[in-house]
Amino acid sequence: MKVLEIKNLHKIYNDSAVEVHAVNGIDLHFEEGEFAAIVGPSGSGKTTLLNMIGGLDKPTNGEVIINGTKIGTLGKSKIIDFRMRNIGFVFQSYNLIPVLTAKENVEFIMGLQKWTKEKRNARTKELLEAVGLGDRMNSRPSQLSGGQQQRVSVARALASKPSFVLADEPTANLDSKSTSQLLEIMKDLNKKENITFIFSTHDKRVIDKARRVITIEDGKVTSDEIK
Amino acid sequence: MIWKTSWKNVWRNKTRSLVVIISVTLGVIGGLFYIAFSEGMVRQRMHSVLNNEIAHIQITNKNFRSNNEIKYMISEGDKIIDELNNDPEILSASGRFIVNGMLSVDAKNSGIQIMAVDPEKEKTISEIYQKIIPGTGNWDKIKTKNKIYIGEALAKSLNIINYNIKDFVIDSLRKKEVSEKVLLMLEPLRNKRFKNEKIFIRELEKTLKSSYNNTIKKQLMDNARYYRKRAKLIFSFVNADSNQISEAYRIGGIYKIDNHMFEKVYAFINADQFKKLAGIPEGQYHQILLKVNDLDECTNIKKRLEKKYSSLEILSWKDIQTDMAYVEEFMGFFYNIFIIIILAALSFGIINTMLMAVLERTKELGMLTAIGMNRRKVFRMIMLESIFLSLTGGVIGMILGRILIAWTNKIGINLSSMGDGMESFGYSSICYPAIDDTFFINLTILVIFTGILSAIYPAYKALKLNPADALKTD
Ligand SMILES: Nc1ncnc2c1ncn2[C@@H]1O[C@H](COP(=O)(O)OP(=O)(O)OP(=O)(O)O)[C@@H](O)[C@H]1O
Ligand SMILES: [Mg+2]
Repeated sequence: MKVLEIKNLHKIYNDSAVEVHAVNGIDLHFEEGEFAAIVGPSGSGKTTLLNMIGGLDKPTNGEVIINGTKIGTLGKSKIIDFRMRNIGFVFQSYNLIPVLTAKENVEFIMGLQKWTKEKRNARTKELLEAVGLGDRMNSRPSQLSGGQQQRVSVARALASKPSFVLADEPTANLDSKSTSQLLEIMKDLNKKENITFIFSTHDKRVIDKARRVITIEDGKVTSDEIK
Repeated sequence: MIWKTSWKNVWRNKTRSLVVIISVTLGVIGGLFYIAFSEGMVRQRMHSVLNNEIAHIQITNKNFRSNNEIKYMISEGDKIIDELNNDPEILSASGRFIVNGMLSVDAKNSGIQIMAVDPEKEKTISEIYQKIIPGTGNWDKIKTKNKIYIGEALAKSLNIINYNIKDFVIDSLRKKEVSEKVLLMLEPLRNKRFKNEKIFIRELEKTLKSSYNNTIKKQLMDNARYYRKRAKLIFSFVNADSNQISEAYRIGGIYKIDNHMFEKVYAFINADQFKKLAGIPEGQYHQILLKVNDLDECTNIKKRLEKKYSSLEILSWKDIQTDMAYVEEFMGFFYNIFIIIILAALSFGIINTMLMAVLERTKELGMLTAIGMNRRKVFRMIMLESIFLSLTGGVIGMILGRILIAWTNKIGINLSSMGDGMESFGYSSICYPAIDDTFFINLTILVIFTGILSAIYPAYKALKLNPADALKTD
């Protein structure tokens, strides 16, 4: 089943003196359950691409279609709601609300979606155990290591069973041990929950773990291989 | 979820939030207390005006007030008093004679106004009978021959209050642990009579020099004071036939209300005795004083009486004490203005703090929008945060303010260091702060309103943030 389709996507930044063609005609599609890495040198357009897929930024041209919905047609508040129901996000940093515990952070979106307390508790417990933090449910982000915080973020992203998870350089701030731990966890969850993961990275070790590797350069896809 | 997050966000920067909460608390306590203090002063003054000084409504002959001559009487006085006492809206009515004259003791004399009153009925329209200083006499003596009741301020200026440091005064000082050295210094002043407070204080200051302090002053003033109860007071006035009449009185009691101007001018004697002395026909009075059941109806009752007794002059307390009537009418309005100014200042503090809180959380708020928290919810979260911030301080402030007011209302605040100044304007030297329940409710509403109002701008700012910022890691 096709979860995500990208058609002839362009993004031109022209707010400075020079026009920057950050994404320059990308066509891609992702099936349910994929585990895909987007790689490329710095400035190649990875973040710009992911932002447009996630509806955080508007394309200059082209379309992003998620589960059959052209997200470009959604209004300002509709798109936020759409993101909440369909996309899980993991960012490089500032992922968690510092005043809430790990459990409360994971619950947050389920709370916004008005899940019942029992369902929320069960799902939160399941996910935090899956990311190996079953015993740290009541810790604040500041009491967790960077790697543990990113694991909480992954749990949060998966909480309300989105169609796919977008992660822009989720391991950029982590040491190599935490990086491989996080990747293992993401991979496990990808299998167990059958949720598509799309993440960008520079990291060779991360690329090795991906089952599909999409390389972009100067805003264009230069290779797309399935291992 | 959002409520909980907002509440926790309030405590993100503990010091900053505490500073804001404490300043709101102090602002509210200060505002409340200031208002309760003014209200207490005003109420006490009002009470004195209505219960000691002028009652609710005064009825006189139309010529009496402008000429103040003994001949302008209410001719059918007794009949009118009976009618008034049967009026369902009127609590009580009492007639009196008023005459200007001169009161002399030894070489001292003073122009006064005599109020010749009915000993029993007077109790239903004025509280003067309860204001007799203990040890100076009592009201019931008014029924015996030629007793006069004068105010403390007049007694002082007529040298009726004297001072003498007798042996028991020294003993009382010793009990208060005043040093023997000071007691020795007092030796030359012992067992001497000082004719009044001014002379006494001057001598004390001269004798004790730097050893003179407030404890000693208070002890001496209270204990060395004695009253010349046997003093003979001569009252002289001109009667309706233009004859000069003089009569000797002895003190029945010295009254003390918180109004020196009143105390200096008004002296009370027995109406029946005065009637015979001045040769006033039966059933006539200079003035009839009324108390009504419902003070709010005072003006209406006055209008009604004006129609009924069109030949008489009828004034309500508002016509006589125009300043107090004005104060009563506009005080609530001034309180509200005052509170609004305080709350506006607090509101700027809250807005400032919340703007800081929003700006330093740009990335986090962007992240929340990215993961699906919609604009309405972001707005609500920041709103709630500001409201919690202001309401916490507001509620604590109101509770503490209320307690402070209740406490000071019980014990009173002694302003006697400036007391003489206060009393010469007719205000009490001990203030009992008080506040209206309606005002308290108004304030609660205003505090909530301020909280909400100051929350809007920071919350609106938070909406302007772009979620893509969350992904920028620089
Ligand atoms: N808001 C913006 N305004 C102007 N130009 C931008 C903006 N954001 C990105 N760019 C430009 O677009 C190009 C692509 O940037 P992007 O951030 O997508 O690259 P990236 O692949 O994510 O790089 P990195 O690996 O360093 O994160 C770059 O040349 C960048 O300078
Ligand atoms: Mg990037």
